[in-house]
Amino acid sequence: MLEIENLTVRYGGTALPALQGLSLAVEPGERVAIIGPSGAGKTTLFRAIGGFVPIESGRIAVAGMDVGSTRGRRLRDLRRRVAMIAQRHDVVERLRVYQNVMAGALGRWSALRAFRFLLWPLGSELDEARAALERVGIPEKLHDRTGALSGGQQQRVAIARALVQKPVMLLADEPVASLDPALADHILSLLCGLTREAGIGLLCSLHQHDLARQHFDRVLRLERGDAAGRAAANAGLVAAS
Amino acid sequence: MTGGLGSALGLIGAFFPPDLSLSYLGAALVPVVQTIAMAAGGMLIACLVGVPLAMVIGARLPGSGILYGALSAVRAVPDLTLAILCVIVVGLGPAAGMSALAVFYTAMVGKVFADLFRAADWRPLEALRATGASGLSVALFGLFPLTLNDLISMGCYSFECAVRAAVIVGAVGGGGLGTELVGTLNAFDYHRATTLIIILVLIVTALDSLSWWLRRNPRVILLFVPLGAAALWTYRPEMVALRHAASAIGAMFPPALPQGAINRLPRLFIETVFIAVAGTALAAALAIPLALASARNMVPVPVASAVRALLETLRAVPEVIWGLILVTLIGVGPIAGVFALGIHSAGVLGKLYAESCENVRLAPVQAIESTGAGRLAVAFFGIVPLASGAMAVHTLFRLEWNLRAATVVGMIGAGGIGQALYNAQQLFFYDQMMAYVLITWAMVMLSDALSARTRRHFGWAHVIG
Repeated sequence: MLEIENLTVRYGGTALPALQGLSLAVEPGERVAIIGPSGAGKTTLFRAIGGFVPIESGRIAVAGMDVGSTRGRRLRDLRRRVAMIAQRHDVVERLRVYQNVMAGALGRWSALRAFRFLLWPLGSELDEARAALERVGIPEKLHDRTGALSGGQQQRVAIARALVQKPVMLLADEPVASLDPALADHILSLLCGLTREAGIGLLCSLHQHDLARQHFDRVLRLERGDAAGRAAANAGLVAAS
Repeated sequence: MTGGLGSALGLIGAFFPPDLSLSYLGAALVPVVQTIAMAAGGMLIACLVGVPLAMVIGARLPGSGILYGALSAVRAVPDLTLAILCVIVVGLGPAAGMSALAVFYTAMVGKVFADLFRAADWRPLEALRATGASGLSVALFGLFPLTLNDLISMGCYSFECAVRAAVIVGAVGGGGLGTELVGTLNAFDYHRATTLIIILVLIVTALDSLSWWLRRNPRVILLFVPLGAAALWTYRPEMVALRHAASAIGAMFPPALPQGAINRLPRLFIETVFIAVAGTALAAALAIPLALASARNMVPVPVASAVRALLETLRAVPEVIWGLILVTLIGVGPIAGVFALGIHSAGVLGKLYAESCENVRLAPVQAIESTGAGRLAVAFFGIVPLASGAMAVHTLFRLEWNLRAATVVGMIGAGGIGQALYNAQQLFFYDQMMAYVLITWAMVMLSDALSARTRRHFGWAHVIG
C-alpha cells in the first residue's frame, strides 16, 4: 500500500536534511501512529508522500505508483488516492459544509463540473455529502457555513472530505492536537473505525503516546536529531512500544 | 446595437499599429512637456496660495471656519468641470488646463494641509503664543517647521496626481496630451492615438517609480519650482477676449433648466448610477480571471508578470481617456461610460484581487490540492472563497469611486448627468450648463458624504489603491 525506502528530503538551501534515510511500510487496513517532538519531520514526511516536496534520494510508492517521478495529471491522480487531514485550519471557512465535503471529489471531477457544483449542486451530490457526514456524525450541518462550526466539527468535515475522496491511504497530521482529550479520543476512534471498515491504510502523527498505543496497531517514534545525531536517529523509525 | 458593436470591433483594428515614426514622436514631445509643465505650474500656484490659506485655518484665525468650508466645497467640484469652465473663460489651450489645475489643487492642498496643521502638536505653539506673538506669526514660526516633512511628502503625492489630472483636463480642450489625443481621434488619426496612449502609460509608469524615489529624496521636488514658474509665464492667460469671457460668465447666471430638462433629471440620475454599477460589475467580471492569471500562487511567475503588466496598462489610462476612445468606437452614450469605467477599474481591481489571492492562508489551499484537484478547481474551491471577503471590500470601494467617476466621464459624452452638462456646453446654453455644474457638484458631495457614513458604519479605515 505505502512503501518508503531510505527517504531523504532536504528543503532548498538548507544544510541539514529534514528527513534522512527513513524507511516505512503500511499495509491495507493497517493503522500506524508516528509520535515524536515538533520539528522531527512528521509534516515533511506527509507532504513528501503527497508529492508536495521534492525527494532528494530514496523512494516512496503508493499503491505501486512512484511519487518522485510522477508529474501533472498522474500526480493529481496519485494525490486523489492519498487523503490528508491536518491538525486544523484546513477546511475553507467561507464555503458551506457540503462544498467542503465534496471538495474530496475534485480529483475525479472536471473543472467545469467543479464550477457547476459550486453554483448549482445536484441532489445526488448533496446525498453523497450527507452520507459522508452521517458517517462522521454531523449530517445536520450539511448546509451550515463551515466557519461557524466548532473545532471538533470542522475536523469531522475534514474527515468526511477524506471519505468522499475514496482514498487507498489516509494520512492524518496531528488530527487531534487542537481538541480536548475526550473529543480527541472520540475522533481517533472514528478515524480508526472508518479506515478499518474500508480497508484503508492509516498513517497518523500524534503527540500523545498513550492515545497512540490505545488506538493503533503499530507505534513508531521519529526523532529529531542534531547535526551529528540526526543520521543515526533517522536511519529507521524506532518501534516505540 | 449589435451593428454598432460589430463596427466598433472593426474600428479597434484601425488603432494598430501605433505610429512610432520619429517625426511623430518628436511632434508628440510638445504636448508631453506641456502636460508636465501644466502640472508643475498648477501645483506651484496651489502651494503658494493653498499653504498660506491652510496656515490661516491651522492658526484658527477669524473666518477660518468659513474658509475651510469653502475649500471643501471647491474640492468637491470635479477637475473636469473646472476645466470646462476655464476653457470657456480663458479659451482653449494649456492656460485653461493649468488654471483648472491651480484652482482644484489649491483647494486640495489647502484642505489637506489645514488638516495636517490642525493635527500638529499644539504644546510648542502655546509656548510661542505665550510670548505675546500674533496669530499669524505663531502660524509662520510654529506650524510650518513642525510639519515640513509631511508637507514635502504630500507635495510629492499631489504632483503625481496633478500630472494625471493634467492629461484629463486636456480632454475638454485644456491643452497637453489630452487635447492632442482628442485632436487625433477627431482627425481619425487612430494610429497616432495609440502612440499617445502608449506615451501616457509610460509617463504614468515613470511617475510611479519617480514618486517612490522622491519619497526617499523629497527635496528634489524643489527642482520643479523653476519649471512651474516658467510654465506659469509661458501659459499665462492672455485675457484678450476679456469681454467675451465676461459675457460667457454672465450667460451662466442665473442657472436655469427648461421644464423638459427638469423632467429628464430622474432618468439621468438613474443612468449615472447605472453606469457606475454596470461599470463596476464589468470590472469585477474582467478582474477575477485576470487576477487569477496574475497571482503568483496560481500561475508561473513569467505569466503572472505579463498579466500584471496588462493590468498596469488598463489602470494607467484614466477613465476619461478610455471614455474618449470608447465614444469614438461605440458612439456617444452610457455604454461608452460603462466600458470606460469597466476597463480602468478592471486594472485597479485585478491588481487588488491578485494581492488578496496571494495573501490567503496556505493550509486550506494545500488541503484542496491534496485531493488531487486541478489548478482551476483549487482556485474555485480554495483561493477565491478564502479571498472573497477582501475582494468584496475592494469592490465596494471601487463602486463608491465609480459613482463619482460616472458623473465625470459623462462630460466627454459618455452618458448620464455629465453628458447633459456636455451637451449644454456644446450648444452654448450656459445657463443650463451652470445648472448641471451645480447638480453634479451636489451629487458628488452627496456620494462623498454617503460613502464617508458607510465607511464609518463598517469601520473601514481608508481606500487602498
